[in-house]
Amino acid sequence: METIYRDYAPQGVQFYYVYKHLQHPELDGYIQSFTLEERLMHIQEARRTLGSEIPWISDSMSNDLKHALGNSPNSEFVIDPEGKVAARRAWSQPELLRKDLERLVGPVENPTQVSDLNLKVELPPKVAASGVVPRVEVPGIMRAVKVQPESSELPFYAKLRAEVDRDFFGTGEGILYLGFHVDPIYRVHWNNLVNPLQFEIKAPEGITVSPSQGEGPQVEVPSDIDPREFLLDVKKQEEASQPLELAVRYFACNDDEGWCIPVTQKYSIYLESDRDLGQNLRRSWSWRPPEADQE
Amino acid sequence: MFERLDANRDGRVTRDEVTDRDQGFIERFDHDGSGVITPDEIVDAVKEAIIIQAARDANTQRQGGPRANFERTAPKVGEALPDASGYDAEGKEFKLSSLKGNYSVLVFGCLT
Repeated sequence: METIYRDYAPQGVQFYYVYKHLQHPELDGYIQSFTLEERLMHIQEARRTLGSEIPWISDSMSNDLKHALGNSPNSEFVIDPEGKVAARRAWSQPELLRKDLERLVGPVENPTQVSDLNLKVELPPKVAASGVVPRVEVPGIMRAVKVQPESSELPFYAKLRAEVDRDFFGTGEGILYLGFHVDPIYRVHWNNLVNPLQFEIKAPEGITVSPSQGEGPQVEVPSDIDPREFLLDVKKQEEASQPLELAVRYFACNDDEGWCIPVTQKYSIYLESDRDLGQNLRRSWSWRPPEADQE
Repeated sequence: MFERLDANRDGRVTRDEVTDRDQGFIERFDHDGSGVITPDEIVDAVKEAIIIQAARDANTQRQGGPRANFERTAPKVGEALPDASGYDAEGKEFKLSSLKGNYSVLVFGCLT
């Protein structure tokens, strides 16, 4: 893509990457943004780590661009000067995009090669130890459910991801996964020298959750960035519609800025699938082939 | 790729053998959460991926997956872009309707 940009931007073609919600959260540590400001911070992170020179556009937090343009995670469009679609595909294929532009704009003498690029790629920074807290093993294929953070004076330095096993949507019984993930865009880590993360859940009428509270493990190293994960049993009567209410307390530390602070934050958890939350590769696949449902 | 990452040639890839950028490799294939990747885990993951892709291809043919959904719902060649907007990197509204006057390329993506 960068080679095509180098060849056709000078000929007046405008290029944009459209930054959408993460398709595979937790890969390389990145997790879903809660706010537009955080999504714009992701764009800065993408610029820095990928070394791309192509401009970025951020999708809205209600994912309007993705919904309007076909809902595919890596789709590609060529738009003509009248604002109409000249070419489109569900998955970006740079070699076909180059052929589109050769047809529409004209061929390029001496096309840029990948070896000609000198992209300045930077690795994501690592602010503390990782791989010190074992990951939970989930019993089946998990699906993300909607989480609504309550307004907070502080950023959500650690963010909640909630998932239920796929069978829950048919039976009303299953496993609820709660994962509290340090957000790398804030360069923070857990403080293991004080009380570990603690949470409590209040369930509305018609829903039971067990256990209703939890505490993270005692960790020997003074700081780390591993997620704090919990598996709960959940039962929901069909007519129940109100969300679970969760409160979490943790300490977040930023060594660059020299602070360590206690944080209390709240969430509403709606036990309904949300396809705009992406799929975690560890928990959304299993040995069983996926059944006939929409991904 | 396994041989490239197995710096000490002990037949296992551990976290301290990979760069920060390749830590994602550990995440993807470390099914037992041990922090160590073995050749068997990679073989298992490849088998799993083949099974899943075959099932998804069959699903797509039966009732449509992401590609089929895209074909049905995305604006078609010759159609105008819909009235939707996002934001530029500075947070200012960016309307699809502003993409006129030149050829433009839009590619959806994200960090992961």
